[in-house]
Amino acid sequence: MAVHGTRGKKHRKDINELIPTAWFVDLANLLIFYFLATTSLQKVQGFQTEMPAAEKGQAKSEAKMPTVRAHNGQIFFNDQEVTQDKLPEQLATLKLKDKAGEEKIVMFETSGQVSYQEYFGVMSAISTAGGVVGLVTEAEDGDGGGK
Amino acid sequence: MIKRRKPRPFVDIPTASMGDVAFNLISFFLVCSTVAQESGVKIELPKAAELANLGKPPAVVVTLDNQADIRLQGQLVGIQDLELKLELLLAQAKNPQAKKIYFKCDRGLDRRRFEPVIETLAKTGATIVMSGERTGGNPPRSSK
Repeated sequence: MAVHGTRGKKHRKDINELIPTAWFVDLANLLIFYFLATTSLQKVQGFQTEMPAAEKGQAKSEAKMPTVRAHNGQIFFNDQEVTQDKLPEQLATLKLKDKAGEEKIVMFETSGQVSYQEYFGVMSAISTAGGVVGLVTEAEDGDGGGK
Repeated sequence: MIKRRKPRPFVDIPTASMGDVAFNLISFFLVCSTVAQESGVKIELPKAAELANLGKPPAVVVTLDNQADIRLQGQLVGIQDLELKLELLLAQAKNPQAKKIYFKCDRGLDRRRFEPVIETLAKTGATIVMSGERTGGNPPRSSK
C-alpha cells in the first residue's frame, strides 16, 4: 500500500511540471519580422517572350515575315506608319494565335533614337497578339544580321 | 473601521494560442513570398495597356537602371560577364520551363544601352519575362 501511495504522489508532481513555452512566441515573432523584412509579395506585371535564336545571316526569310520598325519615335508596320495605339489592331489582322512555328515570328527592327518605353510597347503588342519577337540587329560588319 | 479591500482575482491572459497564430503567419510568408533578389535601385518601369499578371517573379533577375548599370541578382556586372554568369545561374534550373529571366529596365533608356543586354538574354535561350506597369482601365490578362 505504501508503495502505491508514493507512486501516486510522484505522478501528481509530474503533471505540475509544464514545459515552458512562453519563449516560443518571441521566437515566432522574430521569424515573422525576418520574413517581413526580406520578402516581397509583389506579382510581376508584364509579358513573357521567347526570342528565337538565329545565326548571323539567317535573316533570309525576313522579307516574308511581318516587320515592325521603330525609328526616332515613329513606328512602321510593314513599312506603313502606325501609332502605338493602332499597332495591336494591325497585328490582330495577322491572326498570329492561330499560327505555329516560324509563322508566328514578327521581326522587330530598331534604328535611331528609341526609348525602352517605345521598345517595350511594341514587344508587348507583338506578344499580346500571340507573336514571337524576332530581333533584327545591326551586324558589326554592317551587313545586317537577324537574331 | 478599516475597510479591507477585496483582493482582485488574478487574471492570467491566455497566451498559448499566440504561438500558433505566429507560426501560421510564418507559414503564410513562407508560401507566399520570394526572397528579394534586387538591389533596391529605383527603376521606372515602362507602361503598357495590356499586361498579364505573371505571378511570382523568376529567380534570375537582371536589372538595368537609368544610369545603364547592369545588375544580375542585385550585383553589378559588366556586359562581357553577363552571358557566362547567366548561363551558370540558368544551369541550376531543374527543368527547361524554369529557365526564365526576369528583366527590368528603366523606361527612359536609349536602345544603344538596353539592346545589347536584351541580345545577351536572347542568346541564353531562356524565356524572358519583361516587367512593366499596366496603365489604368484595363483588367489584367491571365498569364495562361
